[in-house]
Amino acid sequence: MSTIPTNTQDTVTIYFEGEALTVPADISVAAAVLGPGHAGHTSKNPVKGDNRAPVCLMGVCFECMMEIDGVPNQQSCLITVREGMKVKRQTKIREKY
Amino acid sequence: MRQNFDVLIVGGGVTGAAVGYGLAKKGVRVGVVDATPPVDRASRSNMGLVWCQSKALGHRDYVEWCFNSSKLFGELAKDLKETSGIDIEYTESGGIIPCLGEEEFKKRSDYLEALRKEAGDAGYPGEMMTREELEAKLPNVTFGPDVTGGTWCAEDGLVEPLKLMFALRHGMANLGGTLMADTRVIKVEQDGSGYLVTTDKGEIQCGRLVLAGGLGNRQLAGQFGVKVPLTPNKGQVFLTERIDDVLPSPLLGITRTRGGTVMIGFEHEYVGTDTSLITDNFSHVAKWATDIWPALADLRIIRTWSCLRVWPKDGFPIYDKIPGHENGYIINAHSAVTLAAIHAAELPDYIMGNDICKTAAGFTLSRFDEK
Repeated sequence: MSTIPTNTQDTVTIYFEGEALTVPADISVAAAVLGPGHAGHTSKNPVKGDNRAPVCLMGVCFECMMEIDGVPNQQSCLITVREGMKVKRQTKIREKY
Repeated sequence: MRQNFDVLIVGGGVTGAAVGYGLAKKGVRVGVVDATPPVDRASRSNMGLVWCQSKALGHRDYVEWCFNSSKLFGELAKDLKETSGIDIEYTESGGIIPCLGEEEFKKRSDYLEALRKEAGDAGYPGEMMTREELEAKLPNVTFGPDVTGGTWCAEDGLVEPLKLMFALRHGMANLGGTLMADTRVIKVEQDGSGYLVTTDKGEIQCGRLVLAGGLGNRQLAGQFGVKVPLTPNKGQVFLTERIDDVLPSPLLGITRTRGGTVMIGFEHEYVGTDTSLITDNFSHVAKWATDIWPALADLRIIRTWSCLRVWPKDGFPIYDKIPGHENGYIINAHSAVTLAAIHAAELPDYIMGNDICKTAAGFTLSRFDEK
């Protein structure tokens, strides 16, 4: 996969907290929600409860956790957007043990 | 210009930093040089357990040494908060070793009884719990059907190991010690009654030299023709997504960190310096963890890593003078976190030329000599 889109006109539509966002096809979920989505924050730290957002954008800091297509706690900076993808802030701690 | 210290410690991991901290508290002009090879950083990749229970039958001195360190941890944590400003998040959590099946329960129970017998009048602070008692201790964990119970020891605890290391380093510096990070030791040699240490940043003179370089002590002591029998002891751990505080006491091998993640792993692998992740060597660990606590299987694993720990040939620490030297010392420990408190308290006097306390007197280098 090329890291630079060959055709910047290609777009996909994702749903961030239910809201449709049309974004470049080759960018990460983190980039999509921070840029076009103006998300502000992408998760709440489940222990301290404070708002968090992607920091390193390269898979190291683990601050970009989001719920993507129903799967919680995924690193949104490492996942490329796909048509129809449903993205939510990670605000809940895993409760079921 | 040559730097000059009363004591120079080579190695700024938990052990070197603990000794440096203790020396700085005594007002000794101490320096610590550190340039740990990336793969060797045991101080940066452990669970942070202060673990005393259920180990070292037949080595009563070591048992006492561990429990004595645990007793000092509350005071050390308070002290470090004042001197470094860092909260090492020490928790008197107690510790549990869960048992699967009746046979394992019996074996663990027999081992504890043997430790108790060995302890004699001193007593042994550990006991077995039935499954019901275990469930009462951890009401928010649903144990697997094969869990028969486990051990309990109130004197085990938990720290944030990175904070421990950095608190010791900063505390030392605030007390007048000097930390020289990213400084690689090239050469160590005797210089009169002291030493001359050549680093990639320049030369350092010192009256006393402490080799606390973990696995690197093999090369460092090797410069004096001394063999230190240490083996890289590889550990692989994996980390889950964050969960609620349902595990206030660690199950040996399963620890919930204060940040909410669950860290899983317990193996000791002897594969040289290979730190690559080998799934075959930890898939059984994952199986074990989910046999203990089935709901773990639903949690996402967010990262995994390995590191090389320090393993002296018999597992016990080494505190000794470099053979033939009056002012040079070799310090090595596998359980650097557990022993950090007693290292900070007891080793400085030893480094300054006094006898080491009786409990630790047997941890010599000469015990490895071929008879």
